[in-house]
Amino acid sequence: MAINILLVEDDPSLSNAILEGLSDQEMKCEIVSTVPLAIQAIRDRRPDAVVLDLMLSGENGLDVLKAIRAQRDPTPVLILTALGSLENRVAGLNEGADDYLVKPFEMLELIARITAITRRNNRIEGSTLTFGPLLLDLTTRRVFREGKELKLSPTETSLVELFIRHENQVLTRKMLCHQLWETTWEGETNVIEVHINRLRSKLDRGFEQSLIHTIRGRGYMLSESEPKPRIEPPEASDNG
Amino acid sequence: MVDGRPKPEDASELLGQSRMRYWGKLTFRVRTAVILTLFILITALAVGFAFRNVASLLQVKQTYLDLQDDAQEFAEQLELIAGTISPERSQAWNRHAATHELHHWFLRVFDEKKKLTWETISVPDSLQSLTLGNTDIQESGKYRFLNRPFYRSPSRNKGNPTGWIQVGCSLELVEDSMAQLDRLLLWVFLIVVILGPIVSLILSAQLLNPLTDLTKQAAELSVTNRTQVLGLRGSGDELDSFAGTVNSLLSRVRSHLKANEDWIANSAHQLRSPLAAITSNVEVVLGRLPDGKSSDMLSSVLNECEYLNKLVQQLLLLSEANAIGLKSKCSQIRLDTMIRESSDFFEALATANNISLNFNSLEPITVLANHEHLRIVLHNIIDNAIKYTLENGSVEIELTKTSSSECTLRVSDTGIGISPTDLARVSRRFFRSDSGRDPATTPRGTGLGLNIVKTIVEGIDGRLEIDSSLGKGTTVQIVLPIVG
Repeated sequence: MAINILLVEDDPSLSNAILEGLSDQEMKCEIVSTVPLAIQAIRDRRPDAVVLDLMLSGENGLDVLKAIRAQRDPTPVLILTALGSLENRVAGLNEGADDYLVKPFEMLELIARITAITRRNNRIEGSTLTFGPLLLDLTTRRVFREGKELKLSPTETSLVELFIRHENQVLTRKMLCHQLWETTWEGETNVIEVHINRLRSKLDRGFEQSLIHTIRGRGYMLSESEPKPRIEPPEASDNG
Repeated sequence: MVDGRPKPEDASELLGQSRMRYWGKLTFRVRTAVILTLFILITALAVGFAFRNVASLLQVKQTYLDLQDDAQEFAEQLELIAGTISPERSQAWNRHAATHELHHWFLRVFDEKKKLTWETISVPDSLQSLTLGNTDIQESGKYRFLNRPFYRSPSRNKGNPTGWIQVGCSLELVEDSMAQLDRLLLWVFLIVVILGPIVSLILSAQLLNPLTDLTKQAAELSVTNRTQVLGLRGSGDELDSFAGTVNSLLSRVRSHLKANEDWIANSAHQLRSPLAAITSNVEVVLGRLPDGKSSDMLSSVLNECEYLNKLVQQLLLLSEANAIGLKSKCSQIRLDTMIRESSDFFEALATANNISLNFNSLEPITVLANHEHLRIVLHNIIDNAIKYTLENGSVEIELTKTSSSECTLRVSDTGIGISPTDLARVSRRFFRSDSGRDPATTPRGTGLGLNIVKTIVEGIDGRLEIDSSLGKGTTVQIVLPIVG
């Protein structure tokens, strides 16, 4: 079943891009640009998640969040904001937002986070996470591939967990940085690449199939097959 | 042909200039002291000179007055005895002369034809041949004498005088006392010469003390610490008004800086929304394109967007760090724990580049800081250390308590180092050194990193010190106040 997203955004250029980006991931998206319309749309059409821009022309996006939470509506809400300072972020989360994303964001990250907040509602967590041949025991923090235990550092185990939770999704360097090391700082060195390479060599040692794939210019993906994140082009030629 | 050389200047002008140059190099205090000393010396000289002259004049005048009294007295006696001097009287007068021997006092009596008829035995040899002059006052060498006619009573002052008397004395005593006075004055002057400069220096120091205090205070002023101002003494004098002027200048500079930071923050916010729209659109289109020239081009657009985003992010961080100088949003953080966490982040990178990352000693230390900002500081300096260290090098991290109130975080590497000219500029905004790792394999930097570190560290009352020698390595020291 396709995920239904309500996007509350008044910038047509951005909302159109998000609409297209989500539809590429087979998510349905409806766009509204004012607070009252957003509240009505949430009540009438019960979307799976709301992507909410805080700065709407003349209105505060937080009012939407306050209104639906006041009615005990648990619809997951992801906040988009151009205000990146700590207090702005905390304010959103305090009002009951499930996640926030600072503009400008990467489309892949938006998709990953939407997936995460919609799944958070449905999935009951077990004590293990599995992906194909990979198994992560959440209580002992041990990782197995085809039953064989891999010796991973705590950081690498967390990386595996993150990848399994976002299986078949591209994770960007920024996302990894933020999730694992709680920093928005990526540095000027290829720190993340080094971590991934090390993890990859440990995961794949003695196996033919590679599990972590580099998506050039975008990030990394845990996938059993060679990833094809890009949809076939609508136009045939690249030369024009 | 035109002579290009400058005209030789007037010699005296040159001399004046060199004097000015020398004078201008002296401190204000010394200059004040010199002027005061000169003033004191000139005053002392003038007062001494005037005093000496007046004293001398008064003494001479007194001598004349005394002589006049004597002349009057003896003239009256002569008038009574009608010019005839008995041996008794002669004896008495000689006795009188003897009692004034010190003054070399003498009396001579002349007849109407100005012929000497009698004189005291005290008349000095040098005056023996002296005849009676035509004036009332006469002098010879160091002797002064008065000439006065006397008359037969009662036709006093009328007709021809019966005779003349001459009363005189030497000025030797006056000269002696003047010489004594001179010696005394010389001593006084010597004392003034010695004490003058000392007193002047003390006086000028006293005078300039408030100014020195003010200068000290001003030197410790920080433009970014909004609570610091120059203290007013409340006297309302020129220095107070100067301090007031500096304070108002300071507040104008601060509000200007604040406006500047606000402007940066606002523009960064304004840039974010369009940047988000561009990035998202490009990403979606890129996702739909097959690999090829077009997708490469779009990828580079995306890279530029990423760079712009990073820049915006860091500019915001800078203005946030400046604002956090106000100490809100800070919490107690175990610095050693955070360093260990960062080591986990960087160890893989160091190993991959064959660099050993060592933690020499990490003492348990708590500091007051913003969690996110402190992490950025650590990541920046460790990242820099690794970035500029060549293969087989090492990066040493050390956290020690350097005093009861301070700790020092030292990150030293065996990297390429920083040239002295670059060292002065590394923490400036947008400074990028040309030498670093291969730019092709490392993400593009914004040149704000160290400036952010400096701003954050100074915002929590810390200091950033960088020491480096080219080819040997760099040591970054961060000194922070300890909590508890």
